[in-house]
Parts: sequence; C-alpha cells; structure tokens
Amino acid sequence: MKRILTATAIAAALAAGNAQAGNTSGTFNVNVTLTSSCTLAAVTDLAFAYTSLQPGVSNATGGGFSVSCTATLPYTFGLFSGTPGTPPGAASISVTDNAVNLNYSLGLSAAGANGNGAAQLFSVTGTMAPSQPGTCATASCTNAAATNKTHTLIVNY
Amino acid sequence: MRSFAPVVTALMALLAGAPSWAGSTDKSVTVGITLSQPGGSGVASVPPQPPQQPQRAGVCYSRSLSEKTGATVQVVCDSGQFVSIEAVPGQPFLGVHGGAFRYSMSIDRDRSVYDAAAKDPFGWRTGWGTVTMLRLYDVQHAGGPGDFWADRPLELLVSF
Repeated sequence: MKRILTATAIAAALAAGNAQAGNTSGTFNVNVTLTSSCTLAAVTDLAFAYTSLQPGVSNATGGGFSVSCTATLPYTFGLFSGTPGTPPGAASISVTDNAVNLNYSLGLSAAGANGNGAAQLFSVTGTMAPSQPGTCATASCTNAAATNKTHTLIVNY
Repeated sequence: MRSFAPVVTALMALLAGAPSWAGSTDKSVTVGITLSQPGGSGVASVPPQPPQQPQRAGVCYSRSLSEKTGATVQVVCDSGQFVSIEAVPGQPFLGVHGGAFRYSMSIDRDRSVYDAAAKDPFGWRTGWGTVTMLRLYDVQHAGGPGDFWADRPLELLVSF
C-alpha cells in the first residue's frame, strides 16, 4: 500500500512540472493614427421679440449649441449669412430680415476653444438695435416668410 | 541657368498663407422675429385725438392709459437719466405742477423705519432714485352740476 502512494505522488509531481525546453521573446509596436475631428450639435433657433421703434436694444433668446472635439484640438467658430461660404467665416454678421425689415447682428459667445473630448457649450448671440420701425401691416407680424432667416455656424479645426 | 529661388519662395509664402484647417463642420442657425406695434393690440375704439407729435427715440406712449384718461400719456427718457411727464400741447388739460428730481434716502439713519417700509406690499425702496410727477386738470369735460374740475385731478408718477 505504501508503494502505491509513493508512485502516485511522484507521478503527480512530474505532471505538475514545466514541460517546456526553453523560451525566447520579441517586442512589437502598436501604431495608432488618430484623425482629429469635431461634431457640432444642432443650434437652437434664435428668437427676437421687438416692438416697433422701441427705445432699447433687443437681445435674442436661444442660440445655444454644443461642440465635441478631440481632446486638446483647437477650433474656432465662424458665421455665414445664409449658406456656408469659405472657412473660417466671420465673427459676426449683420442681416436685415426681408420680411419685417428689421436689422440684427449675430455674434458668438466665444471665438473658439480647445477640445476636451466632451460636449462644450456655446451660443450664437443676437442683438437688434433700437428705434427701428420695421414693416408690419397689422398689430403683430413674424418673419416666418423671410427667405434670409437661416444662417450658418461653422466649426473650423 | 535660371534660378528657381524666387518661385520656391513664392510657393512657400502661398502655403504659409493658406488656411491650416484640418476640417470643418457646420449647422444652420434660424432667426425668428416677432414684430409688434407700440401700444399692443385689440383696442376696439379709439377716441378722437389731436394730431400726434412725431415719435422720438426714448419717448414711450401708454396707449391704454391715454384712452382711459382721454389724455395722451407720454414718458420722456431721452438720456436715460432724466424723466419727465408732459401734457401734449393743444389738449384740454391744464398742467398744474410737475417736474423731475433726484432723491436720496440714507439707509444708515432710522434703518428700522426703512426696513419696515421695504417690506410693505407696495415694494417701497430706499436709496437713490429719480421721481417725476405731473398733476393735470380736465378743464372741458365736466361730469355735470357740481362736478368741479379741480376735484378731478389726474396725477401721474414715475419713479425709478
């Protein structure tokens, strides 16, 4: 009985031992090409509420948007009146609405920034100068029929 | 042999001046405008009014108050620092007294009194401000026997 136990123990020891005769190693690189990019979320519509000949400046509501860019990637904003033009666009634009004949200016809350990988919040700002009469045949009008009410925000990176 | 140095220099200058953007993305921005007429809307009838003076920047007309009182009520704030209330010339109203003045109340003196006043339902405040007021009498439209015009003053007060 004792011999059987001894033989079993030796066999187990041999089975658990390293059966490799030797080893060697090599190194390799992992090459990554990262193409930087930015994504621009939809811009909230701007809205002006203006009383004809009002004495004070009117500031638009809305205009918020977010940009997500590769971390540390610098980017700038630009504006185009109407459809996109050649980058980088302008820091501000002046437009006279062709429905209610009111002039307004659009600007930006910042010229640009550096990406951080997360959504960063900015806004398109709008101001309307005082003392403009506008054109409106009734008590109240909107510029729904205007053909120049849509403009373009561009992110350059 | 012709030198290419000027050509190379010009090309380098062009490259240096070219936009360095790796890319761009854009979205549309829509601007909505609601234009309203001064004085609002929905008034069915307007009493006869004398010819209106041309509107000036900084002059505000109260249409509802004007129609209620029969007088054109206007507030002048051309400079943004001075306010006056005027009776429009040609209307049957007699301006008795009025003017604009600055006031200052010390909040360090009798603070408890001012604190109490600040809590009242009319929202009184202490400190610097400007007040203008005008008292008018309607000298034409008597309401009947015993209706003396001096008993029906119209007083306007603007403070800020």
